[in-house]
Amino acid sequence: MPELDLLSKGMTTCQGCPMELIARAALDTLGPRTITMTPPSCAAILTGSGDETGWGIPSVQTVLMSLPAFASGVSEALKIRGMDDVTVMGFAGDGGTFDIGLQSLSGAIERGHKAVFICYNNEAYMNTGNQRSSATTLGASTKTTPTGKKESAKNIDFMLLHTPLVYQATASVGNIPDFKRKLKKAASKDGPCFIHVLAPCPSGWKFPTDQTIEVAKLAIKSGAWLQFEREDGKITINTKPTDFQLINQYLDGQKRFGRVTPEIRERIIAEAKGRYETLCRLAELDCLV
Amino acid sequence: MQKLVQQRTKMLETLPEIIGPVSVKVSDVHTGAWRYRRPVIRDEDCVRCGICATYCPCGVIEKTDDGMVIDYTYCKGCGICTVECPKKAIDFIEESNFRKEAE
Repeated sequence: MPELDLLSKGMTTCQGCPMELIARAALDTLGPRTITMTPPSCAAILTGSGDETGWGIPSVQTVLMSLPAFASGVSEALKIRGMDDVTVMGFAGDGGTFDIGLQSLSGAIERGHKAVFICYNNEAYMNTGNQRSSATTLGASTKTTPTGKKESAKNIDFMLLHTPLVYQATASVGNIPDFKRKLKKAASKDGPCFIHVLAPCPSGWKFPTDQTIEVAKLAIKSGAWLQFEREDGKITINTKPTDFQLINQYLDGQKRFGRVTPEIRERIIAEAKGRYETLCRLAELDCLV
Repeated sequence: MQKLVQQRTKMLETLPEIIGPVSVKVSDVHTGAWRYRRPVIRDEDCVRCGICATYCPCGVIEKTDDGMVIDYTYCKGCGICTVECPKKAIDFIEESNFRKEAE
């Protein structure tokens, strides 16, 4: 008999949704002794409403601004009951991490609760119909920025470098074994961990549904997405970008970048180069605690 | 349908000890109805590496002793497996062809 999945089949996420893949890979790694929570987002589809849920593990539907606060409470309660082997997994999107959930995330990290915060970054408020968030890339058109976003995205990874996270990493759906390895490492730590996962959204980014993984792979290759981890005050770069000019191919593959002018294109490439150079310099240090 | 519910209920018994409140209501949506095109594995070319199962967002591909098996009740037909297969051993066939056969 086949093994029962901890996340039910037949979830009503879109075709080719990477968020569901991240949730599945996460449960595959963490196993049944996990408690999860989701804010109102695409991930709320997994948690469901009423007495229906997709998760085979205990799950909470929290409010958008205080998912990490919920996680802190659950984590402390588990500590009092002596259940140290249970992992608390916060599963929020970019709205629940970058914008609305930021203050409670920074609070939970500062208090040092044992929890793993996963952020699946689809670079807009996709569940409400593709509105811009602070994670939206420069030049991307959304419902609220129809001619393309004029500002560059907030770099949450660099912001969180100066917080007392025990483990911090970026991952991508383009490399699931790497994501699983990072999550396993995070679950073994005794303290707050943050994993930022790129989730290319076929309906919001406007590319064919079968290209989800390919877009994520190209983002790593082109340097639009950096793969690194921070542990014990030291940054390790996992994948080096091959060629920054591949960003042109990355932008052409998505219809949301249909109105990008050559100047904006140059700016996107320059910013990606700048991010990588900063990261390389930071990787030489070993005092980022 | 009855068979499916029975199978699922039997599978629930294999669940490990639960650490908190969990809903046990079985109310899945048969997302297979969304599909326009159907992935079909050519068994002679398949090397059973399991990459399609790793990258399937819906978790409908399973590795069994008789090769990879796709659960068409829930497969949404996104086509990720057909692109990711290193041997290109998965065909993407229009769903209308199968309806004709069924008729």
